[in-house]
Amino acid sequence: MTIFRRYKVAQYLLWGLAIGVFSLALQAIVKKGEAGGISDYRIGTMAKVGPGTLTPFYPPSPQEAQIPMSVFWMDRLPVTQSDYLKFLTEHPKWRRDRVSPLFADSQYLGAWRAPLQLGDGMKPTQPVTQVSWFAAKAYCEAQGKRLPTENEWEFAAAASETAPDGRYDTAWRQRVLAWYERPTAQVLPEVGKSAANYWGIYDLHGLIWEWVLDFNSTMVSADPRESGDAEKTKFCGAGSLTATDKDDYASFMRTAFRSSLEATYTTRSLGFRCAADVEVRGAK
Amino acid sequence: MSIGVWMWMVAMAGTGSASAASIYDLKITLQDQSTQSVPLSVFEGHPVIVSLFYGSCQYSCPLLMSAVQKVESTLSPAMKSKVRVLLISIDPVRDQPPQLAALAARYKLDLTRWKLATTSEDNVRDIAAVVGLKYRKLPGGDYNHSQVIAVLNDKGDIAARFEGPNPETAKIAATLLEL
Repeated sequence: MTIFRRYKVAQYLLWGLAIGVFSLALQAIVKKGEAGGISDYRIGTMAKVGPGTLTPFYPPSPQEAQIPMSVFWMDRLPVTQSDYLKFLTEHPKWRRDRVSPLFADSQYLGAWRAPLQLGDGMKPTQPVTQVSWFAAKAYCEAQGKRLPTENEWEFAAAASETAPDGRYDTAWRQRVLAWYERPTAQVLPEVGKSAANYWGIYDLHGLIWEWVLDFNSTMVSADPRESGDAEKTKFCGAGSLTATDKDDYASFMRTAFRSSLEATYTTRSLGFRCAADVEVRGAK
Repeated sequence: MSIGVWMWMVAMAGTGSASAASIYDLKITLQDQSTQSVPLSVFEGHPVIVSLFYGSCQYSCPLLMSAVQKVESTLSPAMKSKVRVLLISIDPVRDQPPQLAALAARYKLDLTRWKLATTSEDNVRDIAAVVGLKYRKLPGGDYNHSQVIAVLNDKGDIAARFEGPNPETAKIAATLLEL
C-alpha cells in the first residue's frame, strides 16, 4: 500500500514537472514571437520595392518631375543596435575607439557604455543611431548591400499602409507629420513596432532619420528669399527649386535635414537601413 | 632591454595611419591625365590644393582653374615648387585621361606639380564627402554642384576649406604659407 502511494506521488510529481517545463518552453517561444512584433528571422530581411514612379518633393530639374523607379530591395527594418555591434566585432576598425576621425565625429556611438557595449537601458532591437555616413556605408557594404539612394528611400517612404503613393491619404499624412512635430524620444522605440507599409517595410516614418547614399546631392540655399542670381553662383548649374507639394511638410523637413548633413555627422536620431539591386539573404 | 624598447618605439611610429584625420585614410586609386594610376596620397609630403570639377563645366570650373593659378602666382618660387595641385573630376563618364590631358594643355598646367584625375563614381562620392562638396548629376549629363577648395598639409589633413565660386585667393595663399 505505502509503496503504491509513493509511486503515485512520484508519478504526479513527474507530471507536474513535465507540465511546468512544457509551459515554460511554450512561454519562451511565444515571447520570442512577441518581441517587437518582429521575430528575429525578419531582422535583416529585405522587401522588394517598385517598380513605379517617384514624384520628388524638390525635382532637381524640370525633366525630373517624375522619376521612373525600377525594382530594388530594401531592408524591412532599420539596422539595430545588436546588428551594429555584431558588425563591430567583425570589423574592429569601425569601433569608436579605433575609427579614423575622417570617417566619424567625436559623438560616434557616444551613448554606448564602451566600444563594444550598448548604453544603459539600450535594447538590442532599437535602431542604431549616432553613426556617420561612412560608418553606415561600411556596414551595408559588409552585408553585400549598400545605402539606399535618396530616390529609393523617398519612393519607399511615399507608400502608406495600403498604397504605393499615400499622398492623398490625409489621415496617413497627418500621422507622418505628427512625428516630425514631436521632439526625439528620449528612449528610442524598438524597430518594427508599427504597421508595415505597402511594400512590407517598417519604420520609414515615426522612428529615426535615415542616411541615404547620395545625401550630398541635396543642395538647398539657406535663405529661400535669395535672388536667382545668388543661387546660380552658389551652386553651379542650379536653377531655383520649387516644391511640388507645398502641403508635404514632412518631405520639406527631410530635404532640409539632409542638406544640413556632412558625412562625419552623427546624431541620436539619425540611423540607417540598407538596400540592394537584388535581394541579399542570409544571416547578418 | 632598452634597445628592445627603443626598437619597439621606432616600429610603432611607422605603423599608424598617415595622420589622425588625413584624407589619405581613404584608400583610393585615381587615374591621372597621362593614364597613370596613382593613389589619392600621391602628393603626400607636400602641401596640396585639392578640388573637384568636371571638364564640360562652363561656369565655375574655369573659375576654379584661374583661382588656383592666381594663388600660385602670389607664391615665392621656393614655396610654389613645394605646392601640389590635385583636381578630381566628378564626371568619370566623360572625363577620361584624354579629356583631362586636353584640359591640362588648354590651361597650360604645370604637370610636374598638377594632376587632373578621374576615378570611380563611388570613389568620387567618398572624396566629395570628405572635402564637403555637394553635387548632383542632371539628366543632360551636366552637374549641379557647389565649389570647394581644400588645402591639405603634408600629412593630408585638411588645413582649411574655401567655399563658393570666388574664393579669396589671398587667404588660400596665406594658409599655404602657414603650413
